[in-house]
Amino acid sequence: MTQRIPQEVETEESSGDREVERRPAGGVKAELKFALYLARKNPLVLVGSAIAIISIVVAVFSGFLVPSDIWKVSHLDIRLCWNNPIIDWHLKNIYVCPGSTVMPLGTDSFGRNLLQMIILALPLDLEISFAIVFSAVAIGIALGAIAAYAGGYIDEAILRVTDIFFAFPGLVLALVLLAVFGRTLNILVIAVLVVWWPIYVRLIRSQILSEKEKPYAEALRSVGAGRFRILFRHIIPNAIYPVLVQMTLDIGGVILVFSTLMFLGFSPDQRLPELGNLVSSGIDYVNTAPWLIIFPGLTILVIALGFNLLGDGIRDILDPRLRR
Amino acid sequence: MMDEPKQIASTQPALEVKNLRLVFNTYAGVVKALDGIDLTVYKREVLGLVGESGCGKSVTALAIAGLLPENAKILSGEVLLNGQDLLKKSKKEIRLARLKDIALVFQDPMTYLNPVITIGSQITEIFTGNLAMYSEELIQSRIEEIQSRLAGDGFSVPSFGSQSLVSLEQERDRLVALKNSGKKLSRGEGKRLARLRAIHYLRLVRLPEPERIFKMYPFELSGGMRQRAMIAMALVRRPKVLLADEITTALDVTVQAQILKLLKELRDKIDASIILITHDLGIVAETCDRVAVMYAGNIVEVASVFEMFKNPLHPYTKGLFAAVPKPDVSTKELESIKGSVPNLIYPPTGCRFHPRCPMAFERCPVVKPPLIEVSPGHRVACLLYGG
Amino acid sequence: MKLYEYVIRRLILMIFVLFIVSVIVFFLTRGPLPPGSVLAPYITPRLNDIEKLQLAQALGVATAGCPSFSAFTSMQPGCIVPIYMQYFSWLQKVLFTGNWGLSQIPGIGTGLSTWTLFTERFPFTAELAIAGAILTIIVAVPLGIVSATHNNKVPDHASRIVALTGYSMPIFWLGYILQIIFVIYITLPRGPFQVGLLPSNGVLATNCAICFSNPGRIGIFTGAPVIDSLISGNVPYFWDSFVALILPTITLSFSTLGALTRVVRSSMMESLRQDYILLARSKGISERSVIYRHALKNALLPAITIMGIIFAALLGGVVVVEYIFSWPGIGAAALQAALYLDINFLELYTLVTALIIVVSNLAVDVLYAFLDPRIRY
Repeated sequence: MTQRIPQEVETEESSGDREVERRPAGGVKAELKFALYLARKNPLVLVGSAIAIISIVVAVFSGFLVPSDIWKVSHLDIRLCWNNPIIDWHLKNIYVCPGSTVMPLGTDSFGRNLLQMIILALPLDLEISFAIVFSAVAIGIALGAIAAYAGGYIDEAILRVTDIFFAFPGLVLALVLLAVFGRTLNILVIAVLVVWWPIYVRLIRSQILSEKEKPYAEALRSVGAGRFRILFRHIIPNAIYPVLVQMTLDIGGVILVFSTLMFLGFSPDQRLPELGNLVSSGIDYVNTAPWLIIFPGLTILVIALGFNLLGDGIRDILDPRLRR
Repeated sequence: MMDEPKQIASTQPALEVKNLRLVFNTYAGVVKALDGIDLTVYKREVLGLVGESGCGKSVTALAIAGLLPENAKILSGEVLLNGQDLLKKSKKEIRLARLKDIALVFQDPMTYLNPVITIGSQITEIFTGNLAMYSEELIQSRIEEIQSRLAGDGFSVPSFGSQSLVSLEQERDRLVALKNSGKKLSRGEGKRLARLRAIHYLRLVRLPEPERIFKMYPFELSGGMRQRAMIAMALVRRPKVLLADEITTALDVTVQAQILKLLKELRDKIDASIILITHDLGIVAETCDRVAVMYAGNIVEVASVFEMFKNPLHPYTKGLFAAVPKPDVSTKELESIKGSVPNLIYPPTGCRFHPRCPMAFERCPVVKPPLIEVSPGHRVACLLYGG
Repeated sequence: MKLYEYVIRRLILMIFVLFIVSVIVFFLTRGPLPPGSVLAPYITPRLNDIEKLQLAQALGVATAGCPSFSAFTSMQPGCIVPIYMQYFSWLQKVLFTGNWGLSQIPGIGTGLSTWTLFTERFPFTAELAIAGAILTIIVAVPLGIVSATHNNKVPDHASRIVALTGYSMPIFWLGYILQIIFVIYITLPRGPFQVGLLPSNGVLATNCAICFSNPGRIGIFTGAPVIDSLISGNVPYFWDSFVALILPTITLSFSTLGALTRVVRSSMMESLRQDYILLARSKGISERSVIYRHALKNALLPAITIMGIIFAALLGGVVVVEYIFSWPGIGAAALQAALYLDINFLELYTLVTALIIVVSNLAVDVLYAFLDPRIRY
């Protein structure tokens, strides 16, 4: 980012000359060195990034791995069966798949290859999650900036509105919206978005407020730089780090909420390849086909874990107050 | 103002640091923070430890007290207190040494006092946590207090509150009996004595209404008062060595003067040696008996204050004194020492000051100058004077 | 501003917020839908017009002075009640007469008034939520402290993994995994059958290996079986209901547990980095004293503020957990209400949970102000 005014001056004099790890200011090279040092100390972050990247790649290329309409076709003769020799479930009543093709994760109640369904579900879940998070951030920037700059009544009003939304226990508002407006994917997205946006408004507002008061912003104002210029070229790049962290964490979080809603029965189509939906269609068969619950759920866990680790890692790397 | 040379209060060393070498392991490399420090503090003296920021003064204090962070590693050296090497002691022994013999006072009383615990509680916890160890001393000091009151030494001290003389006598007799019986103090009695002792010392540092202050929280006091409270916290356990790390730096000038005045008063009352760490030569002149100058992890010169100011030998010391603006001499520019503080990850070879020294010669980068005595009580680490 | 002034101000704000919440829910549920559409599942051809009208009124749908049901549905003029008037008549009805209409939830609610359905089920949810909160605190605080003091060693890594897994884990999945392990796989013989170790449904454990076959009866005092059985002195019943609580509580609090551990850990670490810790150590007091007296006191303050959020999260998670474990609480009922469009129940549920959340936030703030001596109103 050009002309970003560094906010941390290098010689941060903590009381006395006690040696502490300081974040290097100035220079991408020093930052990278520090980032690698932290990554070495913290291998989980690398794991997280790997998971996140792999899942995104699989999602993007799912069209090549699996034909995209295959979820609409049922094969009732091979429903709820398992023939992967690696795992033995030790349950009675396991139906062994007829035929020779190995189903690595078994089949579901429509006879579809579960692994394929999961691969198809990835792009759906990830796209929706990204869409929700980015929209929430956009609303957050818009309202947060308005609140921070307008101050006074407008600020107060926006804050009260976020308070009201926080008073709704998470899923309830989404449930009500879905009950009233129907169960399409669009409504699902809006329902989750409605629950999610207040967090970003508050976060961004407080970030902008604290940046606004910093000496560099005052200096810019005193030389006559316009408000928008200050906001977009200076404040937002400096303020964006916690927001980035939150966004990464939220991609995992939104997938959880979204799949939970689908699980609870608000999916538009029973056969839709979506991770929560896949689990919900498996709960009737806990005793005879536990893989239906285990594997899609495990996928959600792994993806959310990946993004959470990544978000944590970014937070550690970008935290200007980090010591050791 | 500079006085006549003060007598060193005693010729017996209270604390000796010998050849202390210490490094820090950081992400950027190994910081060679202390490069063989030799320091001696005599009983009842005030030793000033002077140097720029980053030269290792605070690190030395922390090393003496055993409070170094985890990435610090002591390579060699000894810290002798009462003839025993503190560096070789176990964690528990070091903690007890800190409790009884070494006390620190820090720079910024706002951040160094716990904001959610009352001042009094932060003092008495020293005693209440180690009641067994302090029982005898608490009883004894209280007895002495009462004795001096009863003897009417003119010190009308409200720590006796509204206690009548009769009840004081009763208390004294009870305590003497307790002491002689050798029984341990009960918790309640211990708390009471600890509280009285704390109030006594809060008064000693000239805090007004010590009973009230005892119950207050740090944020309710002004900066100067908080600093006094920290000093009281250090003195209350009658340490042998008091390490004061830049204690006036965070205060404004008038308060600074008050604190220094307090220190000078206390010198005579308490039995401790004080190491006064500072970067301010004026404070050194005011309060210290001897002074040691530190540069980049080495002690470069040690002398009595009078001697040091009259006859600085090391080029760095000379530079320091020259840099102080003198109100009675008109100069066009402030003199400064050229160059900047060296990077301690890759320190200069030989004498660490040689890159900035106006009098450096070929041997300087080669040989590290040892600290040698040039005249009685005056030691320098510079090849110009031998070594 | 004094503390009680602050509390009063917050209470007024709270009422305002609840008012807005009720308005939002009301308008959301009654606005977009055509009038009487909620009644569709219950209108049978056998009912004549007047009966339909009465049914509509009994179910809480405002019909004003409509002459007939068909007039109502076709929105003839003189028969339309403007929605804001609907709101006020609704508000009057619920606040002053406590009449929330009849429940429309098939199965569990037929024949019951909404209010009765709600109050019958509420203690079960309360029992579950409080158990979840207790478990969260009991585990997270010590774990967080240990992680902070043994930074980057085994306990820290372990707690970090648990915490991360906790808030990456879909609640419903955890519930089923626990059921699969403890009900399907770990079994003990009981009579001629193999029975799961722990029960997977209901508040009174049935079909579990370590449960009593006949726990007997208890008196109903609070409605929550664990407490009632304690009061009644019926130990087998207590044990069974306690055992039934185990899996749902773990499922519910696993994610909040992780979050609270992290918060305690990071605020402890922040606290331990402070300068006053160095001073405390320099005084020679015991390390235990340094950690628990100096560091923890400061660290708990930010952790307390998170408790409000945690409670909200627990209330949200209860919906899923009750569904999976067939727990007869208001969460499961709310889910059904959403699926079957029981507006009355949804409104009641939303308002009550909003009330709980707002009150607990206020309580948390008051507690914080109480504990931090620097905040004096």
